[in-house]
Amino acid sequence: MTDDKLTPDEAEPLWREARRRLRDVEVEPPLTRARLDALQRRIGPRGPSEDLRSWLRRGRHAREAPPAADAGVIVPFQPGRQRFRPVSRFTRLAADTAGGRLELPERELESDDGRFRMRVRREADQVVLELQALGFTTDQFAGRLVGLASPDEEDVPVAMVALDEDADGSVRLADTPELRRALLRPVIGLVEEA
Amino acid sequence: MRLSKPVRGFQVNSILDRLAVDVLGVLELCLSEAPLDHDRLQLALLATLSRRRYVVNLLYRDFRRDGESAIQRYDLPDGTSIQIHDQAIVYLDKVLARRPKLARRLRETPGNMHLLLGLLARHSARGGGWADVEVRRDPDLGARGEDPDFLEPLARALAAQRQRLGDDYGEDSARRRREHGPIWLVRGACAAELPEEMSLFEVLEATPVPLQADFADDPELQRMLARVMDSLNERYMLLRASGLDPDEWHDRDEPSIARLRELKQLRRPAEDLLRLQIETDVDAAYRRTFDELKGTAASLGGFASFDAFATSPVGQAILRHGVLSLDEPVAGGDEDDERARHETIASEAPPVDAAVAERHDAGAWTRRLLAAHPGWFDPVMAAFFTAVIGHGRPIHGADGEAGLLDDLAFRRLVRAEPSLRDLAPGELAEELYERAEAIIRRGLAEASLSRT
Repeated sequence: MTDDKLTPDEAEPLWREARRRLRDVEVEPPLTRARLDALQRRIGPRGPSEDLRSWLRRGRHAREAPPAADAGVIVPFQPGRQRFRPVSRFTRLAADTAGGRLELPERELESDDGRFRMRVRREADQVVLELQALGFTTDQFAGRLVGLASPDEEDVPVAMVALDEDADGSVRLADTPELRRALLRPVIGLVEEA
Repeated sequence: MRLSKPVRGFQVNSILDRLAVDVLGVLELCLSEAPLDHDRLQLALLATLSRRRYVVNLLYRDFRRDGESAIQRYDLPDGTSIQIHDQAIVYLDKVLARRPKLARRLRETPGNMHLLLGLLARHSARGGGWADVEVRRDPDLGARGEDPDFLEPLARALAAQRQRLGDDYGEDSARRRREHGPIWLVRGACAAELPEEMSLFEVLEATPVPLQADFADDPELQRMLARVMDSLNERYMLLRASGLDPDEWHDRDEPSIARLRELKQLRRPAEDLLRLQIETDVDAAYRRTFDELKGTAASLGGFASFDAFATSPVGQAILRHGVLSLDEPVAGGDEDDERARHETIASEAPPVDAAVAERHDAGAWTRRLLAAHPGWFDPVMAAFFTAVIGHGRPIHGADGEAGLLDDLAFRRLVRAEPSLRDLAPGELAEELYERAEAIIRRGLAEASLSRT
């Protein structure tokens, strides 16, 4: 294969192949159990004799019912409008991170500076992450929005948790490699207006 | 599930094969729990059918409506959204909910829907001999067995379905039933009669859920699901290819499948005549095409002349669609459209363009396109084109596999690009897709211009 200039006869089939492949690309995020749950909560149950279209239309105008689980909702990070300021780090034991697979932490973690405790558990195809500010730092973080990032990419959190007045919070997230990678050595930070 | 490589025994080479894979994914989401949640099943199917891939390649395009008005978008708490397309509702309602008639060639063999139920039932996680379930016609068998695991939901659901159907089934079914007996699902000492005709939803309703976690890996089940999707889809595909709105025409007896096969041949040559300005009027283009295709035969699509065609409701609908579709650059002219509308899965040859690409190694042919037009690709699009188009890497990660948007190097490129860095992942994927589409359109236009 040489990188010589393409003649129109050579280029056209390649562009057509590119178009064929592009049409097969999945643009939308996968339909996971979590996303389907959220859609179902948003639309609500169909009435006994309700027409399919009316049901979907009704659902579109309905407010989403609160999630049934104990975890908070996911808040997307907006890089242009928000800033992420790392404040605390976790170090997981080598045993936790051994091997090629990105294992979730099995035990409760405490940040290196003792300011945060984190628990992670898997439910169906989701990960529930619980975060708690400890001791004197409770007042500092109560009611604040914090994020969790990977040390490889400290400026963009992969998850955000709104802490309550006791500086506790939880979030339910899709189980992605990106999240698992961040959970190898998580960085906790404050999310502030840019 | 990823489609960039052979998946689960499917030879993924048409939009219907892909749909079968995705429907299998939906079944995994819905049949692994009991009882079956019908709302959830329908929403999952609608969300799947409304994905861009199916809107572009499978669903009928109503040119009277703009794209946005045909979509209902539901924002989700994770910042993404799911859209449901109007034509997905039509497809669910007309195609997936249809009860296919028994094929004439079948003698004592039950239909694909019946066999699908048997294959699903084999994977029931309820224990108690489901693995040996059999579905067959048998003139001597009677309903038997009071095992609660068999009665609920399977035997009771089937009884209700039989009652609903009554004797409202096709002549071929009635004849085979007389000759070879009713169709039975047999599990050990239990037997329940199946309705002569079943829809996909009726099959799922009777399935003894929950199914085992790995049920979707069964190659026999995969092949059967692909066959079911293929047979359900046939009329819809032909209507779409002919330019007849399936919402209006799917449930009618006419035009028949045979006539639709003839009528669908009109559209492409007529649109070519108009595009090449050999004809400037839609009626004239279709008249010329009709006369050429009909030749000396007595009729085409059931019409003895173009005038008979043009004054019929079918002809008027096709001509109206022909006028409207001309305003849309995506309508016609694409050999890919035709490939996507093929009528059987098994018989399809690999697309010609794929053969061209196979002669080049995966990365090399995209590199040649990039090298030929360096000014067309900024760093983000060069990376996107190479990874997604060239190597088939998915945009989004799933099932523990990282997608392009999970790639740190790619994310750095995106953050360096002001027009992209603030976009949510769904919006970013859309934007990248559209930019790639624009580049490809430009490439095709330039290649076509250079040749002429």
